[in-house]
Amino acid sequence: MFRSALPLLSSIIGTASATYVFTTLCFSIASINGKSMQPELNITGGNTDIVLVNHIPLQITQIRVPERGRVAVIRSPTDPQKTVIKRIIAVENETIIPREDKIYVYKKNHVPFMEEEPILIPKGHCWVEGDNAASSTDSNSFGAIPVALIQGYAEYVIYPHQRSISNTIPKETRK
Amino acid sequence: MFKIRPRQIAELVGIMSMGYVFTRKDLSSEDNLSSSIHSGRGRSMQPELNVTEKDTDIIIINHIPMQLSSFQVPERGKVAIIRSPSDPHKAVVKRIVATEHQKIIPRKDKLHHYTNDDPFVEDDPVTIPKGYCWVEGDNEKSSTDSNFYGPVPVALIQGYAEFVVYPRLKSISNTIPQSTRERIKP
Repeated sequence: MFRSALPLLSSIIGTASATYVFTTLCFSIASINGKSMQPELNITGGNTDIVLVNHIPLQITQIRVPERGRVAVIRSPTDPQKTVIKRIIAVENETIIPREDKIYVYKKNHVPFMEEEPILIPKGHCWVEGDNAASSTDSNSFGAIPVALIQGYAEYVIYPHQRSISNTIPKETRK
Repeated sequence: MFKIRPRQIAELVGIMSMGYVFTRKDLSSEDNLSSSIHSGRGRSMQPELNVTEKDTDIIIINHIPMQLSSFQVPERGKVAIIRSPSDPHKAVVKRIVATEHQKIIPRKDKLHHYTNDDPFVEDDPVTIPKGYCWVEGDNEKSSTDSNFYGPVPVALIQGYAEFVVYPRLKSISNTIPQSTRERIKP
């Protein structure tokens, strides 16, 4: 009896594995919660938008520095079980001034970071921010993050309104 | 010649995918970031790994603990393979010596350069933030680790190095060196 189940079982395992590989290395779908990326995503305020995430650029080893302006899905540095979606604002060796009303408490000995000082982004790191300045937990609170935390780029919204996601940095960002 | 039928292609894709899921060996990825079998160069983990410079130990990586939703804080003392914070396409093998909310004094002869201004004064303990951990190579004299790039997000940990299979089979110890333990509070 087990013999006849074997081809079916191996088909199931093979299909599941191929699906896993596809959604990990190629494309996957993510639903977005929260308003940190308004007005780009979840413009109505609910947890509605479903996006297509492209993982392929991460497999290319020649690319070490992510593209500025792209919206990326990243694993949270403060909670390994969570993934967040934010825009890449600055990359390694650039300087950036954190947002005014946020205190950046990343340094040793909990010295709060004074918001006028520009931060130099270390090698292999990047600075990410949500488009919604009023409501976003991002590099302004957890600092520059390693590029290795990026899982993929959100390129396209597939629900409720199909549109592609813009790759431009909001104008008032400080360099 | 061969007539390649769609069924054979599907079987091939299925077999390669199963191989990937089990071994996590990407065809394209440098240093095989998440592979289950890893061969790493360097002396930073001597004497645990790569005891003589000529041997490059082959180690088996266990990825399963990271897949569990209960994985929040890594086990102290375990040797882990981590995506490098300074290069997203490189993997490093280091020991986890301290976890979130602990305080650690960085190694004395290292200057800690992860902020853009003052070099880190080596007597101040660093408090490891939530979601981060401190990793070090066992070899004090030759290791680029948290003493250089600061605490590392736990999300970068890809797996625990469990066994060495070449040149000789042995399991990798889970103990933090005594001299390191003295630098950690609590």
